[in-house]
Amino acid sequence: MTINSWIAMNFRRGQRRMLARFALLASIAISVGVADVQAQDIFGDSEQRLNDFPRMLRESFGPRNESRRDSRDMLKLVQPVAEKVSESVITVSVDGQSVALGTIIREDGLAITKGSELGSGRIKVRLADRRMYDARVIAARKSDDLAVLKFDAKGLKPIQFDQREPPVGSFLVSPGTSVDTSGLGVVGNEARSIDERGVLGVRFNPVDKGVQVVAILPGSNAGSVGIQRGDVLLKVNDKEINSGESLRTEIETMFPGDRAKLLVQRDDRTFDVEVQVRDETVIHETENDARVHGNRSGRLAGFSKVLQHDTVLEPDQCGGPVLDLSGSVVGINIARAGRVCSYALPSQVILPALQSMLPSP
Amino acid sequence: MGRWNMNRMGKTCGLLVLLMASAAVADGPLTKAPANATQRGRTFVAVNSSIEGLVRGRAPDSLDQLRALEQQVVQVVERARECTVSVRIGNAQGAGVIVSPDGYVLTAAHVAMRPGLSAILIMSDGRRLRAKTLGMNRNVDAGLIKIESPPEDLPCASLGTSRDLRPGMWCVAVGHPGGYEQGRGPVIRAGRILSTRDQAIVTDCALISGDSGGPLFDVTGRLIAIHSRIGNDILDNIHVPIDYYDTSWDRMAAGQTWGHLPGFKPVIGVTRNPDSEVAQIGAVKPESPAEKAGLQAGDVVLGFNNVTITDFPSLIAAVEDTMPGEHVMMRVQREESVFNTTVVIGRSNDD
Repeated sequence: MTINSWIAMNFRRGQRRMLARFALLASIAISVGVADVQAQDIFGDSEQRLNDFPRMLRESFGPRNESRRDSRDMLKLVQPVAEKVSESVITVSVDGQSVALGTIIREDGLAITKGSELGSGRIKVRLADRRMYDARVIAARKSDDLAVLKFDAKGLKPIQFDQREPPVGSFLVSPGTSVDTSGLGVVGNEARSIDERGVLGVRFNPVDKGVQVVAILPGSNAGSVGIQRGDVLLKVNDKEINSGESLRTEIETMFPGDRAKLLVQRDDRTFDVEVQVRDETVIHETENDARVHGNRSGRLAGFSKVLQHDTVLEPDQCGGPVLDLSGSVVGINIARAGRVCSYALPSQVILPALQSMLPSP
Repeated sequence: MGRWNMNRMGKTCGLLVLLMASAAVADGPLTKAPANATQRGRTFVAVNSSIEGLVRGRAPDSLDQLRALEQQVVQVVERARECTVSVRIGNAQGAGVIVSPDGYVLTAAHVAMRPGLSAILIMSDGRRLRAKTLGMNRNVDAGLIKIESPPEDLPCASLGTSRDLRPGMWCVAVGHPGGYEQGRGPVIRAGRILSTRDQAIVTDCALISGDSGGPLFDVTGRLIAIHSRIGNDILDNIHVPIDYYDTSWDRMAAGQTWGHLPGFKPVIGVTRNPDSEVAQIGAVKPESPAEKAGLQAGDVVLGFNNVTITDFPSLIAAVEDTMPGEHVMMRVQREESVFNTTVVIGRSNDD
């Protein structure tokens, strides 16, 4: 795979980070005066430079980045830990867009990833050596948002899980793929379960047939997919809505991040839309709260047990392994849940889950 | 009042506000360290000589050194969590840290709100304690709370100083992100100091609403700051340097309040009627909180936030005891009728 195709594949992610950093720069440049530091570094012509393109954008704006916990030097320091598993980390894309990392669990082309990111498009995986394969979901476990992918490769290096739980305060390394930055964070508290309550975020009144939307809450996805006040919801997931209760009951069977299919009536026409179910706490957040959280996973609650840590992850960096400083794989990242919080499914949850999901080899 | 405290944590933090900060300093930086504080507290853990440089702000130069740092952090956080409390006042939630066996708890001024309020503190082992708010230095967002009947075995943080802090120093933040959660306990974040300013220090220990008032420790387990506010960027986490608690101690312990955070002066937008002896409004500013609450020129304010208002200075004092965003009940007389209305406190950039 050429550098160019790699850049294309990572463009979305790079662009996103660029935007975030520039927004900050606008405020910082006034006081620190570092606006121009970058230019000559970015447009260097060596391959190494090009490979580091997004990382440099993320990391080298402003002197304060040198002293941060996950500075470039710090990530270099933990790189040997990440490299222990680098052959077992894959990138998962759907219809050409990178959506998650994946973790290889068997040499003959099996990997686990964050199931809710897969949607219904064409799944491809890219290995550390840049080979790409079509992949399909052969098993899933909704309760922990795990999916098993199968692709036609052999001789891969499966990950070895370690079921010990790292103590609170332990450093954790979240490797990326070979060209992407690893993350560094610490365990925030003892592993625990995360309850969820999925809601649509619309208020409605019952009418003769279906329910009529009277308000859309600010944190809801309903407005952005085209639902308006006054619309009548007739069906949810192909089931008739004959009361508010029947709509709520159906939504409660779904997890935050799932898409509810709604049949909507407006005036004389009817149409289908898909609304993302969101966690109740997210729906009720103020605009301020939502902004400081940054990019989050759609499915960020509803896990039987997670290890909370403060590694800064993008939502598409979930699905990959998490290691302690000795190189033991303590789990896989399963959600970016907010500004202060990423969740990892601990190995003690993953191993029994895999046993029940997979036929013996 | 609802989730006011949570809103505030987001609102306080516009980057512009922080970068423009240039208010007069009410209290100079500390010159004396609290006597015997380090020995008295529970959180101090002496460092192994191999990582002494890290305490002063260096980055580890080997994985072994990073592991030694990790061992240190793991020991400190276990003790640090014991001293950290959830602070609940009405519906607002924040955090605090116990610093003395007789029950003094440091928090943020905007968590304590004003003197004499009842607070419920929840310790990491689930014990609930009754407490009362004391005074606050709002210029830097420092506040003080006192536990009413402190139990004998109260775990206390070891006090450090913020005098010698510098970028790169490793630190540990404890708090209750999102508010107290049953079965979760205080949550740890670890990071480094990114910059120090006269009235605030900035770290990459990511904070969110509910963390306000919680402690920041250095890696020897000494308390160096209290969480205050954040910016949109994940690197903008702002803490009150601990030395301000020392220099403000006598006034705070006596229940005094003073100042406001730069750019966060609470206002309702009315001027006085100079010819009136009582708190009669001369004019209401257009679009102001007072106008939105329905106040008019000529109205006389009788009560504000359960405080009886007798004249305009007492109204000014009562407004200064609130925080922007807070919902406050006002009792107002208009001609022959008396009514109640709720005003949402606004903020002024004037210092």
